[in-house]
Amino acid sequence: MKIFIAITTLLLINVNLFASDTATYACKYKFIKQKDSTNLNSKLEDIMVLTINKNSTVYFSYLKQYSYRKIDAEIEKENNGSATSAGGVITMSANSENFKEYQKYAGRETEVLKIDFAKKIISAYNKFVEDNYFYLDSLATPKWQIENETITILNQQCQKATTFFKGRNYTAWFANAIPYKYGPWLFNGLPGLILKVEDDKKQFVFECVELNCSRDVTNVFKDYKVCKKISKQKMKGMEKLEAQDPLAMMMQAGKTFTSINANGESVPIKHKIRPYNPIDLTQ
Amino acid sequence: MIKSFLVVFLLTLFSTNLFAQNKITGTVLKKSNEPIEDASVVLIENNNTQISAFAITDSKGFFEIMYDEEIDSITIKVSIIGYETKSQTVLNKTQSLQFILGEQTTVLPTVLVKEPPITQQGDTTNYLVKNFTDKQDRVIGDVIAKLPGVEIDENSGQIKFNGKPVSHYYIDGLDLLEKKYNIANRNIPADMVDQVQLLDNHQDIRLFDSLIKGNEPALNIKLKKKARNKLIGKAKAGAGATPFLWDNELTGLQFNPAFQLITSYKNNNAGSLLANELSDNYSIQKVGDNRDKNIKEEILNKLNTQQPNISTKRYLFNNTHLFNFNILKVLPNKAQLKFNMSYLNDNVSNENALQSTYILPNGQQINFEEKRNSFINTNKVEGNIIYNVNSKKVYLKNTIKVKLDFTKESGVIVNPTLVVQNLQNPFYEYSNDFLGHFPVRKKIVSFSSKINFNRMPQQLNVAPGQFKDVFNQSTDYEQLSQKAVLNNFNTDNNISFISKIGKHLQQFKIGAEYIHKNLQTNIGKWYNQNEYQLGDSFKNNINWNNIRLYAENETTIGKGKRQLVIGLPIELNMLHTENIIEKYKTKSNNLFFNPNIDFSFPIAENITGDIAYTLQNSIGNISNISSGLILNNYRSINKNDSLIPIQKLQSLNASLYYKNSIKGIFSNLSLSASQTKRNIIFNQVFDGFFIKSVGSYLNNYQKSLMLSGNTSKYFIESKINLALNYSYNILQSELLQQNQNVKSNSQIISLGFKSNLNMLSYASFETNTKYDFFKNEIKQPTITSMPSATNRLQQFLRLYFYLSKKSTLYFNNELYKVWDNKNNKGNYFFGDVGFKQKFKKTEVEIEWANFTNSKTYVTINNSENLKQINTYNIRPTNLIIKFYFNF
Repeated sequence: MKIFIAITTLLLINVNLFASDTATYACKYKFIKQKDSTNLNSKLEDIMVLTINKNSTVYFSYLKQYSYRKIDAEIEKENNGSATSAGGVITMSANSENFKEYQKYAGRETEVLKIDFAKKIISAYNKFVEDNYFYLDSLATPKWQIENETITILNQQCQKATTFFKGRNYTAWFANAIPYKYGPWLFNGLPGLILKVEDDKKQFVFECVELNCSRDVTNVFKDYKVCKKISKQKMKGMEKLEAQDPLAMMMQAGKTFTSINANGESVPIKHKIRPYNPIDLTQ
Repeated sequence: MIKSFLVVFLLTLFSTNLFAQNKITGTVLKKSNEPIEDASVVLIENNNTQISAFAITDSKGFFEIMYDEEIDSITIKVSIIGYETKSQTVLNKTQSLQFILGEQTTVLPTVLVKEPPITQQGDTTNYLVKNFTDKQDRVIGDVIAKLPGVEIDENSGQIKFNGKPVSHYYIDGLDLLEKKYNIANRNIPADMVDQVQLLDNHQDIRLFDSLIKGNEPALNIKLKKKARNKLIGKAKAGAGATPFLWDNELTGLQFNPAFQLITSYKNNNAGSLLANELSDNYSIQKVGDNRDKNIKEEILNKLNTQQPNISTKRYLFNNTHLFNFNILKVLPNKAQLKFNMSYLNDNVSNENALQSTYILPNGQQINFEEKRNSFINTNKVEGNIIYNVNSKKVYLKNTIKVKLDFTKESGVIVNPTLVVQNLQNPFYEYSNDFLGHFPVRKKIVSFSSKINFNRMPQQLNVAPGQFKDVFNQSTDYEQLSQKAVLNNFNTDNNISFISKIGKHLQQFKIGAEYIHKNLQTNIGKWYNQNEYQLGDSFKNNINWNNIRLYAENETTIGKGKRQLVIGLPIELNMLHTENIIEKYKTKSNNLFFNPNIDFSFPIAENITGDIAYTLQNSIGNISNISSGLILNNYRSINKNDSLIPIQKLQSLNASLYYKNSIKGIFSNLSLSASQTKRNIIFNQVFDGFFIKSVGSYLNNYQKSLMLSGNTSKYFIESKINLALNYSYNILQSELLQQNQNVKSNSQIISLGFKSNLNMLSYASFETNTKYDFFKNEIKQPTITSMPSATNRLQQFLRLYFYLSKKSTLYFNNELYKVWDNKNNKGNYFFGDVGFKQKFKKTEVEIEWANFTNSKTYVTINNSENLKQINTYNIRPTNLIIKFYFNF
């Protein structure tokens, strides 16, 4: 066990996620996900950014990044220019503007995907409580069936293609006029940028809302600067725990919580298990 | 798994047997024969636009497409970013192709979501400046005035956001100018600003963040990146005729994260009012706020002329120089150092004819006419140094202020004989303010210390001597010379403790204020070029020593947006006065209880309400207790008989605020009722146009009821902004005239409508219509005099035509109508036409002002018992050409 800890500590890696001034192209997707596969009303909207560099893409939540950026700036302001306050403690009062901002973006995608198409390697980063992790995976390209239907999205003529990928049936719409083989999330391999993709149950819908928006994505995630390498399986396990029982996740990370009833007595904390509907059903 | 794979495999085999499957292979290469990876290769059937099959080239530039339709010919198209797109029509058969692509810049499509012009983030409303800027807008103040929900007072420049005055004005988060934010509004070019942000419930003291909710909005202007970190210069040079006119400006601006600078020099004689660029825009929220304690209170005045409510460039005959210098430096540890200074040299001449009517209790009226020619020379230097630390751990602020005002006024009045008045009207003020908040254990301890000294040595000379019966046994004499020197020293020091008890916030304050004033007046009479001092009944030498000991407990109970503030101040007010001339002293001790309560609460998602009550007891001023006669101006003398004035003000205010930034709707309505009780009444005795006023003890009341508000709606798609403001005010006061008690009832209605239409690319329009109604009735127990009523209607219409991207033609039309119920009326029209042409770094503007050559303008003003009809001279038609430069 001790040796294992030593190894994982050694694997803390400084990540330079965005050399994004080299981003040649970027677009934004509106991403709607149904958090509970049985409840149509559990949909959450996010704005995702796909930045395209030479042979690689980075995909992340614009809203989440925006909230980090705001909070970073605020913390920096508070601490005379350094990103962390003394002792690394950041106190946020529930009334503060920061906290409200933070809450507004809670639930938005924290995962950042970097795909190296030359090496066919996916690096997936995520943050749980206060620690950052990443894993490496090999890139899979869906097998696409081209169909004759076309629609227009953002003035671009898009042609339909279908696939079965990571356990779900998807319909994608790609624009041949933008000859990139990339798309949102892990989708790739069509002869044009994927502007829309959705599964047959419409639980996961990605639709492009902005093209060539590189001006918006020049900032770096300060939060993901130092990451610990873990296995994909472990990461997926943590993702599941966070979605189902965030309280348990926090407690696992060493946070303590007490619950007090109306009489001021300490009572055991009730864990409420929430639904979990991962996009990738093969994990 | 294996089974299904087998099935698929077999099916594939089977299908290949059924259809002839062609295999199209090939390579995509650069001109240098190097392979191109990741190129899209698509197969399109002829007479079709859809893709039927595709491949993506591998690292060797190789592709392979399997195709099984029976068609004669097909097109293979190869495309990749950075290279030319090539297609080749070939027969549908198994074959190998080669594409060699030359490099070419690919223009990729751009589709961006339009940012909404107004967005809301928590308590912050963001306005994207480019959506509200028209080509004619030069400075940021022009744009702020047009933002939906925001109004700027035309005279003082005070900014209000949804009815509430703005407490702080930040430039990129830094408060360079404090209350003098007109300087920013009038000097920062609109095109330097990216966003204007209005922050509701702003708390400027970081230590109080999330502890005490501010209740005033603040404004922040966010500059564009290109406007930061460099020195920006602007200049204007203008000349015109007739008479010879000029209008020049030179401005330097720099905004760095740790350093800000605004400096400007302006000079004109074309009627641009520069003095109000220096207005202190206090946002007085609480009644009885002591901030106005040290303003200049003129004892002598040479009869001020009321300014007409038309654009100053029409009536102001001036020659004004204004120099301004403001810097801010951010120091380590959240400290800031600010230095602001200004110098104003203002020479204004004025010519007007005034018809005054005093309505007396017995139905009698006094009418007289004055032709006035006046000249005011103002020389004012102001400077302050502010040191401020504002961190989560401590708040410190020290302000040193010096104000030197050397104003001289002179005037000639014909009424019907000629009277010359000369007034030396200087004011010198030195002050230091310190405020500190420190957390001590779980409390915050605050210290506040204010020291102010000011001096006003006034002198009024009137020739020939007036009030002959009073001053010279009814014989003519050369000149009267009234001197009045007021010295005022005061210091206010307090300590307060703020602590949080449960959900309540307790603020306990104790403090002491000491005010020492000395007023000395005397009158000299001239004949045969010698001055003779008049006797003791024409002199004052009074000491005023006032000690206020106060304690205040303020409780804030807050839950979410609901907040209740209860203030319970108690004050022991000890006043000692000493009349040195009449050799007597007075002592009066008063215990004042001045409670206030304020409850703000949300009503619905976008609606908040506020109810406030205040009681304010206060003691009057030294000028009220003079015993010797004072000549205020050539036709008014005043005697107070050493009475100590005490007033009690009660006010109740209920307001509703509605804000929906997304829909661009802002609205507020407030109802306020107030009653002031005074213990002294002044009996005005008219002897012709000479007024003597004498004070005596008699409780009297002044009541006011006012309903007011405004509503604005911005149509985002069509870029139309509509704003409506409304107010209805009833005033009741008691007067003593010719020894008789009278009541005065007034009604004031004012309505305004503003609109901005910017939907067209070739033109924009601005309209502003104002209607005011004033009605006054004087009531006595037996007689009610005929009410006087005045109506005023003003309409402004500004039309801008954009002849090209760089040239604008504009028209200003102003229409005024004034009429009363006594058949006095006036109709006026003023018009200007102008043309602007932009060049690379310069702009030229030619304006032909007042093209109808209107020469006079009349206003009708009513107050309690006085009606004045004023005729002003207007600047004749003139042409001015202005050059604007940026460097």
